[in-house]
Amino acid sequence: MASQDAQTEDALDIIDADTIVEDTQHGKYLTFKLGNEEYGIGIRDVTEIIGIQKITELPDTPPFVKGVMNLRGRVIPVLDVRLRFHLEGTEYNDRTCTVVVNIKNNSVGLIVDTVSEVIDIPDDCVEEAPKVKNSPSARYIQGLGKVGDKVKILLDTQKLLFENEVDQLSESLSSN
Amino acid sequence: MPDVEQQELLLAFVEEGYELLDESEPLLIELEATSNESGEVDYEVLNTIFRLYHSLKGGAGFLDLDTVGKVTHEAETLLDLFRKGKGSIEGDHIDLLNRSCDFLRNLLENIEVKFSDEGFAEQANAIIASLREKIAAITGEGSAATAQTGAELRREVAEDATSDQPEDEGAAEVPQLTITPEMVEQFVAESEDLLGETEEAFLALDKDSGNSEQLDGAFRSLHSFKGNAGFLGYADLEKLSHQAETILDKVRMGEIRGNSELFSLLLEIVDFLEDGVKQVARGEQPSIPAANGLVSLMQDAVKKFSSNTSAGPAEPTKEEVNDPKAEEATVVAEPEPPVKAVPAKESEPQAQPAAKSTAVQSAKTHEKPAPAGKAAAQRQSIRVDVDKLEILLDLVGELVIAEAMVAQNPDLVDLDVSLENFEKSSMHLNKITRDLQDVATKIRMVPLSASFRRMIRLVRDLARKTGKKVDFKIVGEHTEVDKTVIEQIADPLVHIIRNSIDHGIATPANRRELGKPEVGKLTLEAKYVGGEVWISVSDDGMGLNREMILRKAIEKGLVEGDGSALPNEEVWPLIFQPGFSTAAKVTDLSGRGVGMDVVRRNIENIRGKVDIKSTEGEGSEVILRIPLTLAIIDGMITRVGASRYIIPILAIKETLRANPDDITRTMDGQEIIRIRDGFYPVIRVHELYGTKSEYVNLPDGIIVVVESDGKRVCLFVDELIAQQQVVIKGLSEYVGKVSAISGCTILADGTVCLIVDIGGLIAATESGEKMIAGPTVVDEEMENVSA
Repeated sequence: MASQDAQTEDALDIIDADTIVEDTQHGKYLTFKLGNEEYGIGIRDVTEIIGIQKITELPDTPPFVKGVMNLRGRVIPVLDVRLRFHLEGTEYNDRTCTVVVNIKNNSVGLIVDTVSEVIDIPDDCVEEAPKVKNSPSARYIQGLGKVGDKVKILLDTQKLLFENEVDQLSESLSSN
Repeated sequence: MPDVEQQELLLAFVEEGYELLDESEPLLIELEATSNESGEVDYEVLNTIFRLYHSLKGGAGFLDLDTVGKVTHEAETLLDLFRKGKGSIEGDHIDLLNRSCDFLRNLLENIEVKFSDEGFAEQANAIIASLREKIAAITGEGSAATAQTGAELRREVAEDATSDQPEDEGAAEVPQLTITPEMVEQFVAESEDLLGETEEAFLALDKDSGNSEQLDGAFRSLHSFKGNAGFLGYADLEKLSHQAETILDKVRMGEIRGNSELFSLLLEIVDFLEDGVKQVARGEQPSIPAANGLVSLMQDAVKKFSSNTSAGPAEPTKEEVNDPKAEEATVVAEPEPPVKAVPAKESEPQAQPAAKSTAVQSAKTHEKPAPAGKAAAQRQSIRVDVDKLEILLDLVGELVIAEAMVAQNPDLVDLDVSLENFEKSSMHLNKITRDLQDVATKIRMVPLSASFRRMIRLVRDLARKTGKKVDFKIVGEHTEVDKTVIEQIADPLVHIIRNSIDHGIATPANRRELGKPEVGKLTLEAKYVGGEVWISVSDDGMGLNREMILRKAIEKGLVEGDGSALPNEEVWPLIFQPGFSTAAKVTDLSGRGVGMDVVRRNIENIRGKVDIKSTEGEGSEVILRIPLTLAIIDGMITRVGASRYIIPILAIKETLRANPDDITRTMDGQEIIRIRDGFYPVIRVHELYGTKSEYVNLPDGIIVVVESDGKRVCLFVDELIAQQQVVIKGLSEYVGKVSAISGCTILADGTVCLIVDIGGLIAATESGEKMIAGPTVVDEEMENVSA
């Protein structure tokens, strides 16, 4: 964590010095809605946003993996973020969006209720989320971003995609 | 007129020559520009040009193209002066060098047609004279430059090839050269090929030490390697390869006899060099700690095998043995001019597959030069990044889909005009698209020869180590498989062959007792069988020991009871269990029980299977069954409710509509259909994948009888849609392996369609495992989704 803070400071220094900001994507988040809450993911992970596509479902996968879809000739898996957070699923409509993210060379589509905007949330407006026991989804939260009087739940895209898999893997290993 | 083989070499040289000239011309311009601007010489560019000229000269010398040789030599001398910081580069110089380029191009054109560079003496002399003038102007000793003897010429060449010898002035230049990562990458790639060729040649020489063709091949490969290593300043690699080259040279001159011991030593050296190259690949400066020891070992070997130590002509031998510098001189005095990689490539067609295995290649590459004739000489290949190939394949896949989308566009139906012309054009487009798809897929196909040939060495080493005699045969090495397959089978082959030699083939004495020939037979074979490539390793050894395997399996709790009821087909696969080994003790060859586990895992990665056949006392055979292409299958598109699934055609035995009288329902609800004399269980695909089907009654839908591993089942689907070739795509790493699904494809309408893995499906049904399905179907209607 300490190193991250140091990095943050460095980033601010750069901005203060009024020099060219090397990482123009830093502090920019794509926000989207799930129910009444606004969530944000780092814009650097996002490759594109498309409407809901035809999804071919897969057997033998966790419920939040909706299946696979065709993204211009590439087959990519699609996750329903609601189901990922154990929220109640909802009917897809023409406002439903698929946010395509790319993490570690894996393109994955994330289904969200609706995409809102891209906003800047400087690091000093990001607070650590309070720790609550028994909250399985808390680990996906990177922090809480304050924008005016509103709060955006900032997600760690990498954990959102991969965290559980690791758990499942270790579970299955320990059960053997 | 030179013979066919010579013609081929010449054509190859011409081709390479054009490339070299094309490369050096812009560099000359660049050189001029930088020296005009800053007054400084760009040594990197200069060195590159120098190398290009040098390559050209080397090739010309080898092919006795005197005119080319002379002109390039003079140009090189001039460049060398600049390289050593003598004289400044002026426009005149560049003009002259450009003129020499043009002249060389003319010569090449002439060679291409007449296979000779004679008849240009006047022009050549004019250019040489002007070059010498410039050289003289710089050095101030024109006469010396012109009076160079042939021997001195060669000395220079040799010096350049081994430029880190202390006495060489050029050595100082080497550190100035910026070594870019691309150069290192190139070096690694080339070296792997060159060392592979060398190794192969050594192995051939081991059997037949008088094979001068192989000897020359090894010499050339090694020499090229040495040159490259020296150029990049890898001293240890250069030293070792130089010494090995010296030995080869002596063998070639008949000064020493090549024998098995000598070639073993040389093979070891090649191993060390390979290690060094690996270090380079990892981004380290290669260092071979034992380099000096190895050099003296080789020198000892030279002494030991010298065929006539006292005879007169062997005079240089003695000198060399004691003085590495003197050896340099011997190489220099060597009548054969140093040969660059250029001619080595074409004159060594046998070794060629190894060189190209990573690149694009056609099966014809392997034909011997004689029948291939002129066409073979003009064959070209380039190295391509695999990633680029993948992108190409993806794009072609998309094109196929897009083509179908256009040709079958629903808007066309509404048009109230004749589509005759459109149909024609779209047929044409369709054909081109298919052809393109074929070609793109074939690009990834690579012959197995390189992988197979690597085993020759392994077998030889293992046989020596274990004191066994093995006659190793390779059959069908030209069989082509997908590149991924090549990567995945290398390790399995090593393990299987090790097992065969270590456990299978007995010692000569034992074999004699058993009434078998002393020399064991080991065959590595590849062939196409149906839609698969079978790679088999068979030996005439002792076969698998059923009792021992069972005992071990029972010990490990893998088998219950005494296992006597188990058929062999179930006993043999036990050896694939991790940590399973029947070896009494762990040797450095095998016994840890890792090998066969690796075999199975690697082969399963490429959707293959491993079969074992064994007869006790007579031998065993391990067959790797690998799908022919990982990219395309013939599939039957079937519809089940709103979903579509592809069933591989190869697995389909027949399709039929069930007759109600033939259906039997057992008390646990399993439906069985009688087809002629057989009874087959019905698997309702929708139940398996947790979706809905349109029909409930079996006679309403279609029964697809499929078979895998000799087991037949009936799949119940709603409808057969079409039979077509489909491009297999993985289900994304993120999702990982899904049981009973081997992949997916994208249909003409853009939807993703799953491909049924029949083997996995039968296995899943047998084990009674129910597939966990996604919650509900999501299709065009966008059904309600709830967790």
